Amino acid sequence: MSEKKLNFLILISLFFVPLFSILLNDIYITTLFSKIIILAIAGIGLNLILGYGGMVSFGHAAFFGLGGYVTGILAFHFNNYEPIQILVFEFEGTNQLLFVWIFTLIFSSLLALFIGYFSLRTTGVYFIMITLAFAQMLYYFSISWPTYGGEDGLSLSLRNEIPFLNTMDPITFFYICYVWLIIAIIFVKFILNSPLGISLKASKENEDRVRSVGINPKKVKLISFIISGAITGLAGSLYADLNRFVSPTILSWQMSGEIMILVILGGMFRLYGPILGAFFYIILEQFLGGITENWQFWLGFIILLEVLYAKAGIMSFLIKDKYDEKTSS
Amino acid sequence: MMKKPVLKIDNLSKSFGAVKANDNLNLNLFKNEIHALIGPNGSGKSTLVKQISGFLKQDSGQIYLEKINISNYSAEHRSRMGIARSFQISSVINSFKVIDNLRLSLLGRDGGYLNPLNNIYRNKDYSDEAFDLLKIVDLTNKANDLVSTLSHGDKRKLEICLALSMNPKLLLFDEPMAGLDKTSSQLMIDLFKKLKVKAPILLIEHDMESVFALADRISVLDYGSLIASGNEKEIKSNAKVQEVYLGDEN
Repeated sequence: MSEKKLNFLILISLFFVPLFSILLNDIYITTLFSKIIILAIAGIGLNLILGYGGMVSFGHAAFFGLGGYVTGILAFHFNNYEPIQILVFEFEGTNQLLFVWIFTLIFSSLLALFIGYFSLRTTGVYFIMITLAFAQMLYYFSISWPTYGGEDGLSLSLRNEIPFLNTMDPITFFYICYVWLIIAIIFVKFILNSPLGISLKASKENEDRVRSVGINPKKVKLISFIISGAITGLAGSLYADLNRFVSPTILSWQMSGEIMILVILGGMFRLYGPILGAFFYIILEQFLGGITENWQFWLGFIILLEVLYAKAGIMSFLIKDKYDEKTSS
Repeated sequence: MMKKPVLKIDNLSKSFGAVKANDNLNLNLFKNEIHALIGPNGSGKSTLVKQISGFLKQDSGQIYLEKINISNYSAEHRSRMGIARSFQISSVINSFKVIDNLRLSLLGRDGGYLNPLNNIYRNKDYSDEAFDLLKIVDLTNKANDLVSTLSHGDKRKLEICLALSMNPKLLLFDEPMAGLDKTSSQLMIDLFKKLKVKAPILLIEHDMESVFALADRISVLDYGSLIASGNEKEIKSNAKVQEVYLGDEN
C-alpha cells in the first residue's frame, strides 16, 4: 500500500468509528477513539519538531497540560462567576469552546516562546533536560496551587460548549476532535512544504550549511517550537474537555514520555505516524492492561523491538514505499 | 586612482589557547581577482575563512565588506550581504534533492524563510533560477537526485552552485578541488576563471598547479602570519616561501 492510500484509509476509518460504535452498541469505543485522536494531535505537534526538526523535547506535557488547565480554569471561573486575575487584568471565565481554544492557542504559544527561547540555546541531551525541567516546574506548580485543586485536580461539571452542538454527546465531541485532527494535519503539511518547513528540515541536518545561505536556524527552530507547542496545547484542551477533568498528571514527565512514545511508535518523519502510534498505544494499553497490571513492561518491550528493528515505526510496516530518511519532499 | 578592495582585513587575530591561528593579518581582495591563500596545514587559512564568513569570532581586528565593517555580524547576516562560501569538507543537505538545496539557498538569500504557508516546491521562479544555476556547473541532469547519491565531485560542484545562488559579492572557496580527479579539477579551474568576473574569489588550495593556473595574487600563511604576498613569480622566488611551503612542491 502506498503512503497516500494508507493515510486516506486512516482518515476514513476514523470517520466511521462512531458508526461502528453504534452498530456494536458500545459508545465507549467512540470515547476511546476521541482520546486516540487527541493524543494523535499532540503527537503531530511534537513530531513537527522531533521528527522534522530533530529537537527531542521531553517537556511537551507542559503545553498539553497548560492547554488542559486553561480550559479547566476558564470553565471553573465561568461556573463560580469569579473573574480571573492576571496581574492588573481581569477576565471573565467562559464555557464557549471557540474562546477556550483561542485562549489555549495564545497561552501555549507564549509558553512555547518562553521555553523555546531558553531551551534552544542548548542542544542534545541538555535540550532534553531543560525542556523536561520546565515541564516539571509547571507540574510542581500545579500541585501546589490549591485554587485549582492542587494535587486533586480540577473537575469540569459539563463540557465546554459550541453553539448549536451538544458537546456532551460522545459522537459530537468525537467529530469535533476529528475536525481538529484534519486541521492539524493540513496545517503541518502546509508547514512542511513551506519555506519554514524546508528550513527546519535543513537545520536538523546541517546548521552550518543553513547559516551559510543566510538562514538563522535558531529562529527557524523557535518558530517551529512555538507552532508545535500550540498544537499540543490545543490537544490538551480537548483532553480536558473529553475527561471533564484536569490534574497535574497531564503535566508530568510521564505524559511527555507518552506523547514521545506514540510518535516513535507510529513513525517519526511521517505526518500520519502519530495517529497510528496513538492508536496502537491506546489499544495496547486497553488490551494489555486487561491482561496484566504491568502492561507498560510489555509496551516497553514492543518499543524496544521497534527501535531495534523498525526505526521508521509502524507506518513502515504497512506501506510499500519504505521510509527513506533521505527523501526530502 | 587606488583600487578599492571588496574585502579588507585589518589586523585580524585569533588564538586557540596558546596557539595563534591568525596573527595580525592584513589582506585585501579586489574586484575581478582570484586571491589564493596557501600555506602548510595548520597555518590558519581555514580559520581566516571562518572568521570572514562569521563562523568564528575574531579576538581582535576588523573585517570590511565594501567599506562596511562586518566584524560583529552573524554568519547568516554576512551570507545575505553576499559573502558566499564553500566548506573544506563538502557541506550540503544530503537528505535533500539537488534542486531543494538550491531552493533553500535562494530562500535564504531572499529572506522570508519563516513563512509557514507558501509552498516552496511550487515556486516557479525558484525552480527556474535553480535550473539556470545548475546549468553553470553542469548538474541539470541531476537536479532531482538525492544529494547523498552524488559523487564527491558533484557535491563540490553543488557547493559552488549554492555559493553562486547567493548573488555573491565575494566567494570564499576552501579547498574546492580536494579529492577531485584531473578532469574535474580542470573544469573547476575553467569555471573559477569565469566566476571571478562576477565576484572576486578568495581561494584556499593545496594543489599548487591549480593555484598557479588560477591566482592573480597569492598570499602565504605560516603559523598564522602572512609571510609573503604577490604574483606567481614573486611567490615562487621568495626564499622564505620556498623554505616553509614550496620546498617540497617544486
